[in-house]
Amino acid sequence: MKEIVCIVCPNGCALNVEQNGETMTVSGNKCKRGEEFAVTEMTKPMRTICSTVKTNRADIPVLPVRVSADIPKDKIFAVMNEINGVTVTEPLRRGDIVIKNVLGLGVDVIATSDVLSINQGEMI
Amino acid sequence: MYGDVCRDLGVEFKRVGQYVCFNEAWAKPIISAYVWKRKHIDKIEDSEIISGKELHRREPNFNGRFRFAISNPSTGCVCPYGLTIAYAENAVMNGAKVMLNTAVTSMQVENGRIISVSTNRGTVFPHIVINAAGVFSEEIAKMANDRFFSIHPRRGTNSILDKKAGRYMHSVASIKELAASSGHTKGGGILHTVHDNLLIGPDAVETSEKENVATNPESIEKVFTRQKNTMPVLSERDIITYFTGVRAPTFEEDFIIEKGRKCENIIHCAGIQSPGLTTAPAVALDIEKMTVEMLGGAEKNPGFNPIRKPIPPLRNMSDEERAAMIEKNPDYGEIICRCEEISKGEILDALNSPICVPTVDGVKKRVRPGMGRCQGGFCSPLVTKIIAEYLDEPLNKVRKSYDGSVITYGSAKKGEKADE
Amino acid sequence: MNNYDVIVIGGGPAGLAAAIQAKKDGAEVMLIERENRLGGILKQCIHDGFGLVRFEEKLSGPEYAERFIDEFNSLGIKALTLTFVTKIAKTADGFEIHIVNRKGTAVYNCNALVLATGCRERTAKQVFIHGTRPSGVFTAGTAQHFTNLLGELPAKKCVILGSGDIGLIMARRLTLEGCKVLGVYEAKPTPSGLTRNIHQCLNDYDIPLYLSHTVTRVFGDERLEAVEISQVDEKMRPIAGTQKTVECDALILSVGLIPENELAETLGVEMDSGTKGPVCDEKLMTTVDGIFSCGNALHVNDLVDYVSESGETAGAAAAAYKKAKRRTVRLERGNGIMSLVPQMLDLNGTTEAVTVYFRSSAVVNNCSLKITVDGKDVFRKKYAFLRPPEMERLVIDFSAFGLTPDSKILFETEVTEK
Repeated sequence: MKEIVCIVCPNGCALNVEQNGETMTVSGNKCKRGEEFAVTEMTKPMRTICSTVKTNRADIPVLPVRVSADIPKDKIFAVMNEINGVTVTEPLRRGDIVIKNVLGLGVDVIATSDVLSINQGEMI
Repeated sequence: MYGDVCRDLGVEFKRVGQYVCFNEAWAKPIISAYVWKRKHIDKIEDSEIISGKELHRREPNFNGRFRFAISNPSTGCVCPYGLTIAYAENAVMNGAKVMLNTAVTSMQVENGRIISVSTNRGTVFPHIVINAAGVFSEEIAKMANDRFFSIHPRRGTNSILDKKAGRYMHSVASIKELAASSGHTKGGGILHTVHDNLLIGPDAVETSEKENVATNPESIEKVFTRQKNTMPVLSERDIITYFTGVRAPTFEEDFIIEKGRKCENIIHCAGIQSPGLTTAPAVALDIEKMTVEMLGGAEKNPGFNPIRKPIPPLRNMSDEERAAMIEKNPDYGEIICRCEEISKGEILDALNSPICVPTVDGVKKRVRPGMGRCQGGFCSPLVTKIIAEYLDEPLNKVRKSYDGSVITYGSAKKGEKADE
Repeated sequence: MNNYDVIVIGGGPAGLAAAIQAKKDGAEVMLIERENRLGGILKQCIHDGFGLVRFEEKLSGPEYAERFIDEFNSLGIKALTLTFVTKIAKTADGFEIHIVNRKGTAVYNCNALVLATGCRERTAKQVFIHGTRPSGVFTAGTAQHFTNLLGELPAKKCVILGSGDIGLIMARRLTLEGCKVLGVYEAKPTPSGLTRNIHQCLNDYDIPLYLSHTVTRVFGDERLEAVEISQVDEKMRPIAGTQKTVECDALILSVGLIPENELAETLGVEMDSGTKGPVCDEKLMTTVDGIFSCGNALHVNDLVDYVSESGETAGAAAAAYKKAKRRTVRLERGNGIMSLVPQMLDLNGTTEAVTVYFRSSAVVNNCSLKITVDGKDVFRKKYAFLRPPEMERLVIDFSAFGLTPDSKILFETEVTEK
């Protein structure tokens, strides 16, 4: 039996996971997402990464980014390395792709802010 | 002297008045005699004794149990580092050279005369050396073969309280304890600073370490316990910062303001402790006299300009005055430090001043960003960026104060590939 | 045009929500923001986890803020950015706001004022850390600004004091950027931040958490070289003899947030010692008629969703504000309640669905929130557990309690019997 904490929402439910051969029983979750989380956490833990990527702008030196979907936990630093290798030179918008299909994981690194695409004098 | 000096140098000086408070009614006749002497012999004419009741009327937050107090209405307060910087800038404006980050390492002395002074940045050949080296004045005297005194460092710790606490009192105050010996100096007090904070302290702790400016909780506790006797409403919760300095007293506890005894071209200005700040303008006149004598006479500089224009304190201006300043320089309208309401223009003025110290602390001492409630939490990245732009250097080259006081380490991101 | 129905001070999530709601409710609105961009602190909170309650999505700070900024812009609400409020005065018709910016000075008038001024961080000296004054001591928000807005690393090898969410988030952030986080130290015996953050910020990266420990001294003449760690007792006082030195080049402090209410205080707004923010009624109007408070200035929040909600409440009320006499009754905090918002009710208003936010003062399991009116039980809600770091929200119908301005209304927590 393993105790894990669900990280899906602020509730942070304390989950108990029982592994009986092929079946996994999850208890302590307040919702279905917790049950799903427990299963993946035991088999192939996934995580999200949020970071920043370098730009060529002196006034806005970095652009915030995140992965478009969860990636395997053991690939966190490899993905960080890819992110750190990029310089953004276009005025990307929120949701635009910075790195497509990073490390072949089927997940993109996307911009999370419009900051580069704001013109001087606009109101943001 | 102070009023004139501060007016010329553009430094704020407020005569806030001072109260030395007494618990012991029996001491009143003796203290009255002392005050009589001050008035009639020392000619400090406004010095007077006031009753406990009158004290309470003027300073309602003081301990109501005081029986009487000496009132010195002409006592003032000034920003000590602000005044020092102003003096230095005025000197530079009039042709003096200020060499910072320059340490004297040795002197070449022949036949009781200093020939040259070696530093970490080169050698100078002065006619006269004025030794105002504080805790290291004995080392300097030794280099000149003229050491006849020793320095016994004594630490003092001050706390600064939020401007909200500044409303509790408006003067300089201390208790005179007659029963127990309270050690050296005034024993600390409470004062309402020119910036409207409260300053509590200092204490006095002997130390062998000349540059140990680390604070410790015992000093703060001791000072607060003592000063709560003067003003019970004082609370440690109002503290926004604290710092320690090291005094440079001599064994005799007196100033040494005299020409060298065994060296013919040195003047010592050593052993300064309280009331050093107060006496500085007068001491300077003594030093001037000695210097002129040592030089065998000198003519006054006809072009000397004693007036220094300060960096405009925009937050104290009316909307109209402020708008006029901003029209000439829009940087004056961009507020960087919101606790103290300091603009980008004032920060750049500090960087463009006669003695440019392009560090976060240098800017802080000159125009105050980082001295407010949040202690630089919001403004320090912005100030660091302004300094980097001024120096035309990357952000990680900006320092807090000393050369080793790195603030940031650059970026982890190499960013070789362009985006998709 | 210098006259507005509503002026909102602060362009973070609270102010944006207030301005949007007031505008939607038909008011002429202007927003004043001292930074050069809207979004407040969310601009630098690039991690996700925002908006789970409101949008059922896990957004990053900028994404959450920009949804509101987009709506704000599409409604055509006027905003003055890089503009600082220097003075506010009460007038016969409302308030006079003096501002300064790069264009000069100006005065604006409004009928109702919303203060969405956020909060600041507690400093090292406020938690009595002693020693020298080297560089390398940062509050977590400042470290976050350097890292996420200026793209500069504030540390290579750091110690974090405080297990609040900001400290935990920075532990992960700095680790991702290549910094070594030696440990997170927490003076309390239980962690301060959300449990899931302990797991996804510390456990995921094998960063140790030391409870009942604090930092007492810093060392270093120029840049930080080491910190002194002490174990603490149940009153969080350092225990003599437990001091240890840890070498590091940065100390990151996450030791609490303090609501910013300097402007409110100059206007005579009564403050609550529990929240450190203004005393407000159910419409989030302070004790000064026409002044409303929301967001972190009102009370420090954990969830930005609640910040937006409080902004909407304040904005709607500010838009609807007409000078009218209130009939107020205070809501009092009893056993176990560290903070409570609102702190009073206007019995002349509607009290059928009042959103109440509270924090428990201790970690309690199997307990209830109990409300009594003049000693009589009128309301109970059960909780499996309550923790100080997790603000609770519930909607209460006060109209059924037969309240008068003299009613003694007390909120308490009670351990329920099995």
